[in-house]
Amino acid sequence: MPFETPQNGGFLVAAYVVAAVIYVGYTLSLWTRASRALRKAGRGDREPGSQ
Amino acid sequence: MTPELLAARRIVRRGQVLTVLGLLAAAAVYVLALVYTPVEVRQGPAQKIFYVHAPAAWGALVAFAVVGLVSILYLWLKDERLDLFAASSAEVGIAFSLVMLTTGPIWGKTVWGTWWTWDARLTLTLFLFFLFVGYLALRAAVQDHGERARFSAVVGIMGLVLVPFIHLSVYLFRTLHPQPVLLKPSAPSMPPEMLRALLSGMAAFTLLYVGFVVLRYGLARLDNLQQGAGDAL
Repeated sequence: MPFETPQNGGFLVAAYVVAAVIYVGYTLSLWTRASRALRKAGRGDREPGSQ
Repeated sequence: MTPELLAARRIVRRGQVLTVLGLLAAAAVYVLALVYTPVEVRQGPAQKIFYVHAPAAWGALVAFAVVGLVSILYLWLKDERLDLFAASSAEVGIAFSLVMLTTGPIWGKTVWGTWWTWDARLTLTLFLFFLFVGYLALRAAVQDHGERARFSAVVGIMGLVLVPFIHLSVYLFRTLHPQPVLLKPSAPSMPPEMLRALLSGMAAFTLLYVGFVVLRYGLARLDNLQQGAGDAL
């Protein structure tokens, strides 16, 4: 009986999507936190008495 | 503006640039793996999960090894920046571990017929993941800055001990997990097209790791300056 290559492309797509969601999600989390911290630092810098 | 604040902002900006470059490189690896690598005859298209899974495992192990090495330096030099850098690498390592621990079972289901098996490699990797989740929980729970840095450094070093053991576990135990195809004493055992995609994946996800860590470290430095010494992570 000839060997047939398994048709499991759905698993491939699932794995790539899961990985992309985790990487992009973590990037967005870091980006949001960094933007907030940079804004806060900018505000603190403009306050009277700040160096 | 203080020099410390300027330095922290510069680190954040550098981290953002490196992260964008890392994501672009990772997207290129997706295209390379999906379009330009051959389908493995026995495993089918699911074998291409390898090009995402292996670099994620590499990123996670590098991240956790860095935590341990930097923690050793912290215990020696007592420089708070080293503690912040170790904690940043731990958080990034958890993100990479999540990719490794989700893509692995998806691939495993197609080749082993099961999502999970309690063999040495998989179980130790899961332990390592929980160890670093505990590391971050410990940091959140301990209020004293010096104690927090010291305790978490010890946990980080314990994680470092586990890293080479995980790599060698496929030689030490009978396991379903395949043996290394790249990081081994002999030459890589795979066709050139596959090897090219794997090496590109390693390079791209290493760059992404560096971007994440630099960005997280810059953020920790900023938080530290704003909240007072040591309250950042």
